[in-house]
Amino acid sequence: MIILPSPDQVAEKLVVKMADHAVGDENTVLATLGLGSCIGIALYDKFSKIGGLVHIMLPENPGGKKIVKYADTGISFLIDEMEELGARKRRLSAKIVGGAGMFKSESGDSVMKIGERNIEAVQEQLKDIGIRITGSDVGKDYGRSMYFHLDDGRVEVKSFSRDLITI
Amino acid sequence: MELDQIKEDILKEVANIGAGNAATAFSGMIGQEINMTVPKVELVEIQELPSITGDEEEYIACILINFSGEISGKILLVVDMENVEKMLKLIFSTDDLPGKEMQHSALNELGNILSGAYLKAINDFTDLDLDQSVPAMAYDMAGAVLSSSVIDYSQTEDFILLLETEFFAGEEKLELFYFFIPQKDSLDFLFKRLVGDNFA
Repeated sequence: MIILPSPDQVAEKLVVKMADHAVGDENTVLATLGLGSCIGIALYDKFSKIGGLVHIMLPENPGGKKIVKYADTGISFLIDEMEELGARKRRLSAKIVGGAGMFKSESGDSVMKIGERNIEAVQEQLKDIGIRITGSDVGKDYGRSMYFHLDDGRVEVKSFSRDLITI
Repeated sequence: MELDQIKEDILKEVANIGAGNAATAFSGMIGQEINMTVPKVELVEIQELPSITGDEEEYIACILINFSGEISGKILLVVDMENVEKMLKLIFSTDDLPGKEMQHSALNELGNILSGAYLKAINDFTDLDLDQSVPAMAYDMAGAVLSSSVIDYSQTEDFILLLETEFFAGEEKLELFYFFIPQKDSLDFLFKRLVGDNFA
């Protein structure tokens, strides 16, 4: 006989696209695939076990309508969404993944610096808001997928270049 | 930019002429007959870009060339790893491939030749002056590579204009995606050149 786990034990997996976001409670896994120079920002309130993930592409919003595309407007928007679910801003911690330099010239130099600028913008923005970064896997030259488990806040990071790590 | 029928037809013609010439150059390089799909012209939402060649976690090689001049934009060549190997074997005419450095430089050369042929055909057709940059490369997850390739265009845009062609080499079933991504603002110049100053 096959014993199926009861529905409340199976975490619901939500995949967050580029320039998008999602929030959830402890029964949720938030994933985002193929982060290159983009950054995935996972915010977690460990008391309410409410978490949110935003996949930003660029440091600053010049006035664009798609506010979760940018680090500055995206992070604030995500916090608001999480507070509506019962999270508290002062309890949030952050884990950040991505910000790579994907393209290289034949001489091996990285050709676009947007990944680095994204990392700086995200770190600065989180510092300004007063959210501590408790885990980070950023920079270098390879792509990453991240899986954010809201039962305990761990983030698994997968890439072709090395073994899966948990931050 | 709105993509009306007239503009779409012009861009299809441009893509057709460019891709036709690129196919001929490609064929010369690998010594195989090349077939190509009818070019597609599409405005693609940025969010969909990571999966335009299929699975966003598939391992791919991508060659990126910027071009500038009277219109500016990017050219992307995307090949999955299985096809990269097939292609290199054809380029070097041997199953015994040389070291990584030689392989990279052969792929760079392929990028140069295909984009050069494409741009030259557009240049002849439109009389626009276009220069291309040296190629840059990435090997990794499709999503990570493709999203990063056009990230500088996404600052104020939520849609990217894609002119897409796929090339196939007969016997080897070799498949290569070719994307021509003009910066949308720079296209008015092209439309005026081809249709005349009365173009609205």
